[in-house]
Order: sequence, then C-alpha cells, then structure tokens
Amino acid sequence: MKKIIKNHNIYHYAWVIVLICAVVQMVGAAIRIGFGVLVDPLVEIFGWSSGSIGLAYALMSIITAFSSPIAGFLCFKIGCKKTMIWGTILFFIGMIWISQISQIWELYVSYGLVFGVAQSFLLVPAVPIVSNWFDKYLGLGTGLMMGAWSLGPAISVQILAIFFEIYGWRDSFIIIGITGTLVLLTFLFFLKDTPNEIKKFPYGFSVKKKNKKDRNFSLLEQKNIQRLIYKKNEFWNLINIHFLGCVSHSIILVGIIPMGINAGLSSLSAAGILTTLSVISIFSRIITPIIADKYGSKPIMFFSLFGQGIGVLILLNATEAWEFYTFAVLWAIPYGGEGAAFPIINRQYFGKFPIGTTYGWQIFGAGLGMALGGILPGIIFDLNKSYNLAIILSALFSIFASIIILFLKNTKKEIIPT
Amino acid sequence: MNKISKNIKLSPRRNNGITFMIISIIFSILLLIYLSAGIAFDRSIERANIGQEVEKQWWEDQILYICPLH
Repeated sequence: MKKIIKNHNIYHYAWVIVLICAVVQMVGAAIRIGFGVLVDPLVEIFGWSSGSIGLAYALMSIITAFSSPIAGFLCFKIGCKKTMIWGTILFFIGMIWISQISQIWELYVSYGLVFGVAQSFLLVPAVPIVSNWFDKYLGLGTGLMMGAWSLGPAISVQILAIFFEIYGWRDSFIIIGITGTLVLLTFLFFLKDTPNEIKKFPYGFSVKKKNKKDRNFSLLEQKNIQRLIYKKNEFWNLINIHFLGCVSHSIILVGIIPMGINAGLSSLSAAGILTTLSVISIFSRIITPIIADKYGSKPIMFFSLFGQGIGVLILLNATEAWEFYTFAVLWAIPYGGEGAAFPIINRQYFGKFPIGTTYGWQIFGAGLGMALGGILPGIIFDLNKSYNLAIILSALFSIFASIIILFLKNTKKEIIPT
Repeated sequence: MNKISKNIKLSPRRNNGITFMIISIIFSILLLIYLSAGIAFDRSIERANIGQEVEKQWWEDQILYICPLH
C-alpha cells in the first residue's frame, strides 16, 4: 500500500519528465511560429519576395511531416532521448546557419530542411516518453505538456521580436541558438525514456498489477506488434483524422488575419483574433486529454472536430470586429482539443506498447494537413476575391474527420492485446 | 506472438481505414488540381490582356486540359 501512495505524489519523477518534455515542445513549436518574425528582415535586407521566403515555411512543414515517422522509428531503434539530442544538434546547426545566410537556397536548406527535421525530432518523441511515465492520469501529464504547444510560440515570438530590436536578426539567431541549445541539453540530461532506467515505477502504478501491466517489449516483439498495428483500421483512421483536422484549422490559422483585414479590421485588431484563439486554446489543450482519459477519447474527439467544423461557419457572415472575436473565443475551444487527445487514444487502443512509430505516422498526417491547409486561403482568395470557399472547405474537412471518428472502435478495450 | 496474432481478427475486406484514407487523398488531389487550373486560367487571361507579360509555365496547358471547369 505504501508503494502505491509513493507512485502517486507531486514529487514523482514523472512531473520532471513532463516539465522537460514541455520545454522541448515549446522550442519545437516555436521553430514554426518564429518564422513570421524572420520574414520582414529578409525582405528588407536581401529584397527576396515574401512568396519565395514563404516557400521555406512550406518546405519545413513538408519535411517535418515526412521525417516524423522516421523520428518515431528512431525512438524505437535508438531511444527517444537520443532522438531528441539529434534534434537539438540540428536545431543548433539551423540557428547558426540562418544567422549566416546570404542566398535564398541557404534559407531553404537551413530553415526548410534542417529545422524541418529538427522539429519532428524534438516534437514526436515527447509524447511516447510521457506515455511511458504514466500508468494512471496520463491525461493530466499529456494535457500539461500539450499546453506548452500554445505557450511556446506565444512567448518565443515576443522574445525573438525583442532580440531582433536590440541585437539585429543575425546576432539574435546566434544568441538564441547557443542559449536554446544549452538549455535543451541541460534539460535532456535529466530525461529518462522509461521509469525502469532509474529503477522507478510509472506514475499511478499499482504494485499489485505489476505482472499484468509493467511489460517490457523486446525489439522483435515491438517489430511484430507494430506490423499488426499497421493492419488495424484505427491506425489508418487516426492518421487521416489528424490530417483532416489539421487542414481545417490550418486554413483558419493562416487565413484569419487576412480575412479580418479584408472585412475592414485594422491589422492590429486582426492580429488580436489570432492571439485570442491561441491563448484560449491553451485551456482546451490541457483539459481535453484529461477528459479523454476519464471518459474515453471518442466523444471529446468528436466534439472537437465537429465543433471545429461547425464553428468556422460563423466566419461566413462576419464583418464586425466583435463577430471575429466571438468566433475566436468559441472556435478556440474545439480547435485546442483537436490534436490533444491523440496520445490518450493511442494508450486506450495500444496499451503500454511503445507508441513512437504510431504517433510519428499521426504527426506525418498532421504535417501534411498543415501544409495543404496553409496554401488554400491565399490561392482561393486570389481566384475568387473571397474567403468563403476556404471557410466551407475548412468546415467540410473537419466534419468528415468527425464522421470517421464514429467508425473508430470503442476505446474501453485495447485493440492489440499486448 | 502467435497467440497475439490469433487473438486479432484481421478484416481487410472491411478496411474502412484505407477507404477513408483514399477518399481524403483523392479529394485533396482533385482540390489542388481545381485550384491549379484556376491559377492557370487567371494567368491565361492576364497574358491575353495587352501590356501584361506573364510567362507561361510548363504545367498550365496540361492542368487546364485535365480540369477545364474554370
């Protein structure tokens, strides 16, 4: 009984793991959002067009998507911590390289390729590690970590902007690159892939159930079980759901500021819509995994995707600032929950089996979705002089994803009896 | 391992995962073709306007042939 209580308290090492993974996630997510700050200096100094600079962002999204399954595979092959260390090394190379660029191809390689791989190597392994460290209350651990996805970019954009102002963009990248790498390496030093490494039990682990639950999988077993996972509908459906959900919200995230400006809002007021929905989504990112853990993932995932789909329709008639802000508040709740339940549903379907590879494929779907959704609003507006088609497509992608959720198996029982 | 395999009923005939995935991929590709054709059509109009020099890209004729909806 003593041991059960011991595995359940605030001093458990699992919380250190959550903190480390949250910091790594903040850096990983900041790579994506920080790009916006970089565009203006590059246009000003080199005279490159916004479109050609934007190509680096699209390239980074696609490279992140394709390297995510590799990150998942490396988790299984060399370990999640080592994968993250490689991600940190690439982050350092990318930051230093960007500070020295003078040709556009260097931007494509340093930001598109190096940062693309770095991002997946930092983001993908965090989820399987947290999953390894929680036997119960995985939702709480995951939720706190997921909150960092929104918090990281919000903080880093401000930091980057201040540094650019004081040191200029080249020195800012060198300073942040060196400091960020040292911080990451320090945190990663304390990271452990599994509780077994330091002879501890996962959080909430009951000693009585040890033989039943605390299983170690040999490499051969992992390979064979992973093959079985590939044959399950749920494996393919979850990748597809993440893809569709990300196309849907990527349209809005990329298009909401131009939509607001097109409706007559000032650029400051339009930017405030994005900030509002980013801040409110932190709440649902934290709460969604907890609800999914307690009541099953399917209902909350359905609510998130369906809500995201129906919610965007508010934008069809929005012309006033208050309408856009009402949209931001209402839509941010399902939007924040869209991706947050994936680690939980993986646990509910695949038990304690390492989910690195499976989650890597889900992030692959998400990455492709973000890339596709990101290009749609601009093209559609150029063709139709209206965002209505983009908004309708955003709704359709989400609603289709919510329909697929109805076809998923009940999460009460594992679909791979490991 | 064999025990695990026996416990799992594989159902390739009712594989809705693959079916939904194919629907998503086809819809996304058709959408991209439709939008690309729109861009190609706009560029052809710009070329037709006197004084606008818009260079023809290699894919424009093919995409308009595939998708003449515009």
